[in-house]
Amino acid sequence: MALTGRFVVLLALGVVPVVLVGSEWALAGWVAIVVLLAAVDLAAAPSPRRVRITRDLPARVRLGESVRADAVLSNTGSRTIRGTVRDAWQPSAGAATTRHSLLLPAGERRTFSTTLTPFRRGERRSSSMTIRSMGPLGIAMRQATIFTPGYIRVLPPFNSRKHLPSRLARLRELDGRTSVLIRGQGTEFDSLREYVRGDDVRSIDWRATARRTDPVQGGPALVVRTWRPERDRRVVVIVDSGRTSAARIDSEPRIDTAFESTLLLAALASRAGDRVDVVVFDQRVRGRVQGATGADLMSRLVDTMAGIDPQLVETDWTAVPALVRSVTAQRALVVLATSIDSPGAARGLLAVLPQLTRTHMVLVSSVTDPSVLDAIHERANRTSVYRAAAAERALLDVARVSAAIRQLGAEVVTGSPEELPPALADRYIALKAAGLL
Amino acid sequence: MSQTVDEARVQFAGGTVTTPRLRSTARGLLYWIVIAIVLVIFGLSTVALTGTSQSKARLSGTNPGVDGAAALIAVLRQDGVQVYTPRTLDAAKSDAAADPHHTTVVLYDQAAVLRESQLKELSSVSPRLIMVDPGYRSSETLTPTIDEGGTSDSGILSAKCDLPGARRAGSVTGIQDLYRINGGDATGCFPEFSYYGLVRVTTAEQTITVVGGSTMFTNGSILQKGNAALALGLFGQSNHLVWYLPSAADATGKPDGIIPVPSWLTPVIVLAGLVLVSAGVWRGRRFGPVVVERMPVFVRASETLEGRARLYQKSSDRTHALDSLRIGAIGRMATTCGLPARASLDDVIGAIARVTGTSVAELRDLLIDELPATDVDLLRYSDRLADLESSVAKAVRPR
Repeated sequence: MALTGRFVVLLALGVVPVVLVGSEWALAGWVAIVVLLAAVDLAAAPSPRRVRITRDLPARVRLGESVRADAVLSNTGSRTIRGTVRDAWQPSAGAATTRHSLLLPAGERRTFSTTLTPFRRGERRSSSMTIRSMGPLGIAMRQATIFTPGYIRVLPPFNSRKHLPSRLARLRELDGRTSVLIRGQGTEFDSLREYVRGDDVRSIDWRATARRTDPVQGGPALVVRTWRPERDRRVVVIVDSGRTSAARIDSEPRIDTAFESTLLLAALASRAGDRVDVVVFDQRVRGRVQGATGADLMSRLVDTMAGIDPQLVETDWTAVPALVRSVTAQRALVVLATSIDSPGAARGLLAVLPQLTRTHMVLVSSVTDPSVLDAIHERANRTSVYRAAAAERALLDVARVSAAIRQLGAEVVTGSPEELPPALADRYIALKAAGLL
Repeated sequence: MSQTVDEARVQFAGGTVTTPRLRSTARGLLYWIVIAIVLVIFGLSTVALTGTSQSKARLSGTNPGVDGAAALIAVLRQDGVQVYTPRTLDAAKSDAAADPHHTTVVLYDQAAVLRESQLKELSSVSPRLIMVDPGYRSSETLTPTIDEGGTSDSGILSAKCDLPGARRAGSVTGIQDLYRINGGDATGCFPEFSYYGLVRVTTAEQTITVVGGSTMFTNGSILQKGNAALALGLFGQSNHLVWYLPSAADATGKPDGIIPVPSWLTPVIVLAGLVLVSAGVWRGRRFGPVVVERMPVFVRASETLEGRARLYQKSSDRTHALDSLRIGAIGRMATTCGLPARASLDDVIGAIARVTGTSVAELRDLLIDELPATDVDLLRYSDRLADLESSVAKAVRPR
């Protein structure tokens, strides 16, 4: 049951008879009349319980995009329902409006569309719809809440996909290049082709040259071997979802930046023919994508990442070597998307790095705070000088941890939230070019 | 590779209605409603059985409490006095007029309800009138020959007069107001200096007795000193006693000096309250259940930086702060000069001296030796470090 503004106005109009008659009985009479009218109106209102609801929702939406969420209301009763309907979306679903005015003739159905612009990853739900049905006099309404669960899956935005075309182009450049600079232990033999000026003379295949005679010039043409970057390597990304990943830098939590870099790296590596496996881990595995390739890999990645929030626990690094072993026994590029803040906090990471670097190529990627760099140059007054000193100390800590990581045989990639995903992709390409995978 | 999220849509079917029906709500409430009705009936019947005639009014003949006068009235009735206890002026007048010459009228107008004309009406039908603790208006109207003259300190006074009731009482407690006799035929009792706690004014047609206190007649005090004797002496003189306590029903007509209130004012105020409540119900009625959402925790990463800066500043740890600034600046300048990360400090200072032309001693002072004594020093060193850094950058990479 709910009252309308008309009820209040009607009650307030009672001031006229009360003043004219000038007694308590006028008041009592008026209140009785209004209450009686409301009761009659309420009894005469069509039942909102006779409405059947189905939802028609998009299965997935990328964070930052808008989608249309439909709800189809059909009136199974015998009377027209007038009133209001409320769709109880969670606040972070970003519904443009949660209320619609309702006019539902008997036996008909209407679709109510709500534009959702979610502002958080994960499953955004609406568990029920509430319908208010107004009586013929419009002074009282019947209300019923109908349990209508529905949800949309909000995926990570993958904004860094704008970097993908340029990186793919650079990846293609690696293909078919002679081994001028890129020849290494891991490069694979690709094909033979004719020597052109500028090729490394060391890559001339004399045996092939001897076997071959140039059909046009008649004379022997030099033949060089070409190399392509090795394929079918393993890339294992471990995303740290522990408490340090809850830190927000430039309005983006660390874990979101880690997801962005992972997505870009996975897109790139799967195009380059490598196998990508991703595990999100803090004290236990929060998400795992293994053995997927191509489009399936990306959709499974975003689906897995959608629901993962940072956990306020310390990451258990001692379990990570075993985790990597469970993914692959081969040599792999192991990317640890975590944060390197202070020697104290990185102790767990540093302790297990030797185990990983023994068999794998390890890359530690971490977000740096651009405001720290800004703070160093801000020295206008006493407070800002102390702040600059603290910022220098923070950078020093990062530098020390980075140095320790490099000493243990791993590599470090750092960057601001916008820079880190392309930086990680570039490092991957560089490693691939150098044949270090 | 899914560059775009697929356009698949999912259908969800609606389920049950979660709002309880009015009928089931009422059924749930029925238990409590029944309990409430039983309690009300029980309470009403208890009141009905134990009698509702008890009064809470002071000096009421039916009030058995500390400040009632039920004891006095009961004793008078046992002595054969016919006691009437009217609560309205009309009833009091008719009781008094039945047998005026054998009737004593007692007036105790605690709230000063009676107006002058009403006082006179009462006085005209009662040859024997006793006013207990009269207010200014009562005594001024009916006994103009005596004035109120202050209050008694102790309240315990001796009779010292010839009135039989008073003389038998000896001394009494509870006298508050004292009166001065200004002439006329008046007898004063219970004196304090030239003021009296009890005055009997006698005129040709009536005697009016004024008692400057009411406490001595209450159940709580009637047994003290000679209170009981005084009471019986005053009120037991005649066969009939009209024990009149004016009530709100006597307050007729417009009181002096108060603006008349229209009769619709109270109902309108009540109506305004009802409108307010219904407006609250109108706006406050929840449109379905509250939506809950678990929010993840996110912390600003620079919190630790700010915290450390405040810690430095609070403890005035200038040396530490300056050291941090120095280490950072040296590292950056070494990189600018093209030195490896492992270069020693002397190498760096030597390189800076060569590039900028500053003396090595001066650089050592700035970069290593000097300690900041005050915050001003710290600011100065910080500025000099920044200057040095920019001059190194300018010297190495001139634009």
